[in-house]
Amino acid sequence: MLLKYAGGMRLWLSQSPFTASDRRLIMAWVAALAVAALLPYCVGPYALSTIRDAMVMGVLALRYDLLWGRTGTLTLGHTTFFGLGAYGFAVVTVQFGLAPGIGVIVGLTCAAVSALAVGYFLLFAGVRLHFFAIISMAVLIVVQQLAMSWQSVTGGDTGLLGIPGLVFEVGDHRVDLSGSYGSWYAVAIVLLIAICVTWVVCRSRYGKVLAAIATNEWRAKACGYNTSLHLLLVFVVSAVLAALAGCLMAACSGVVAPDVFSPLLATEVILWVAIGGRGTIGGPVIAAVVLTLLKQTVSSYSTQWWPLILGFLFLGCVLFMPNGLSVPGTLRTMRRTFQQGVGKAQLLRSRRAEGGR
Amino acid sequence: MDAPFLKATGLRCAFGGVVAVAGVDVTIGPRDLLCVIGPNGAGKSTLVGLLSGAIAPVSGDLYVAGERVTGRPMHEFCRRGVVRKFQGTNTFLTMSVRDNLIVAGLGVAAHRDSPMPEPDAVIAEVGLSHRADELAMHLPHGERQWLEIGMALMCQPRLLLLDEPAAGLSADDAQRLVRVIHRLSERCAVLAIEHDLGFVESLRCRTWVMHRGQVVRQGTYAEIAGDEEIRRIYLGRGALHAAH
Repeated sequence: MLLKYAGGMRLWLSQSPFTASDRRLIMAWVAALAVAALLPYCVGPYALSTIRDAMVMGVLALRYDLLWGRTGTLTLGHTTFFGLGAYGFAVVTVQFGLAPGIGVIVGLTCAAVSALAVGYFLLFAGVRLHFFAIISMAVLIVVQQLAMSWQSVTGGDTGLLGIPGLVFEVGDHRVDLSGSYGSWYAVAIVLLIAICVTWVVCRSRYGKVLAAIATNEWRAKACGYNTSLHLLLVFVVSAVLAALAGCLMAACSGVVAPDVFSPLLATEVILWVAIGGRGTIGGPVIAAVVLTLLKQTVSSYSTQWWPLILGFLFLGCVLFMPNGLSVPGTLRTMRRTFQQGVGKAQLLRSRRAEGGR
Repeated sequence: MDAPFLKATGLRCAFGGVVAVAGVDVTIGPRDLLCVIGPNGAGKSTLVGLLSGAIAPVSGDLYVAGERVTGRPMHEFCRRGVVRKFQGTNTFLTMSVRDNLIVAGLGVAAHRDSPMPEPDAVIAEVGLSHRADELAMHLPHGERQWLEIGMALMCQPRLLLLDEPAAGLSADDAQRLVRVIHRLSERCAVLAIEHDLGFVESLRCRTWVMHRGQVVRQGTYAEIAGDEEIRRIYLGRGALHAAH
């Protein structure tokens, strides 16, 4: 039985041979790892915590890239699970006074169970594309309302304050990840591991199957895939990842308020993935971190400018860089623009941004 | 005689008020080669849809290898070996030829004890070796047809349903396809739906004629071609077109 299972895993996760670009990518992430390890010694505590919070958003972007970029499932309510993770962690630690470890488990389970329920009824009923997006938005609004109204548990509009940091007790050892250094390393490690696992899965045969389901679900069904089941699996995994980001956010910032369920944040996540490049894994994470930092900087001057900048950025991205802000992709697009003439190329590109690649 | 691989009784399917398939019985043995012809709208494609599980019949029953599968989802049909090649082309356009085949093979291989066929061997069999790393969307129509056939082969078929396999193929390619189908029919059952009567003639196999949702004649191609009534409902019209 176990042997058969292992054989199945090998069948699904078998990798194609490494190419030069893969090697470059690994080098880039090793460099990122080194930077992450050294950064706490280079910048001040305020900058460190700002970058840390931005990296939590990076986990959220990664999760959305997995769902939208890989399987083409567009949702507008993915922050539901982010918020559920955050609230699960906060309620367990603040209201019940339990250990942060249990908080993380409860937060993740909460998100997984609700994703399983929502995903099962939607995906197995054949709900796809914009219908799925709209219903997921409705779920988000329901959960937001719940968070605001159920005051005895969620703290209502003010949310929950004084959430403890990540402190685990394993036997006699005490792992303290609550300080500024500790929480930095916790976030950095979670982000890098999540990226690594996602990358390995996406370049395996299973990643190809997901891409196939995204391009032509009907054909994939005719190849013997229970496509709804695969989509549900990815939906639940990405919900758990979002919940993990939520737990980290709650533990790092110490507060959680109903605005984690706001549609604005949900929209921002889509922009990160669109700007970073759908299905590129690294791109959306970088876009999330950079844009969150940019938002912080701009907001410190004026709070009104940020949505305007973001809107223009998105517009520019759809028109000129439908595959996101990647250097080779942009160069290719520019070359094509000069070859085809500007007017026609715009139309082509906006068509690609709508769904074609 | 072997037990039939696929058996269907009284299959009926209607779209709104239009009856596409009106009570068809099908029995296909493990090594049968069968061709279905008929004018447009006779219900041929619907029949393939019913047999492959893509459409659930309004009434009637379907058995695959002795097991009742009526109303099951399409992917279960495929896992049991009822594999369909689509009419026209229906591939994963944004993926390379090799990836198309790998994806096609994995779904079934995960539920079988036999290993997945070697993608490169299948690519060679359908003559796409020089295109293996190209995206499916860059292939011309004829080669996409071959890719479809390759994808069907990757699914380890026990019954292959070919929906207009020769459409868009050159005369040479069509002859190559005839040879491939004959080779295949030594391994599995094949049911082909075809418009091109020359192609059906060269397959030299049992032929059914469908008309208005029913199988009206069964026999060899020569018998069918010699039948006056069939001439009238199908071939005659073709001859009429040719005369104009």
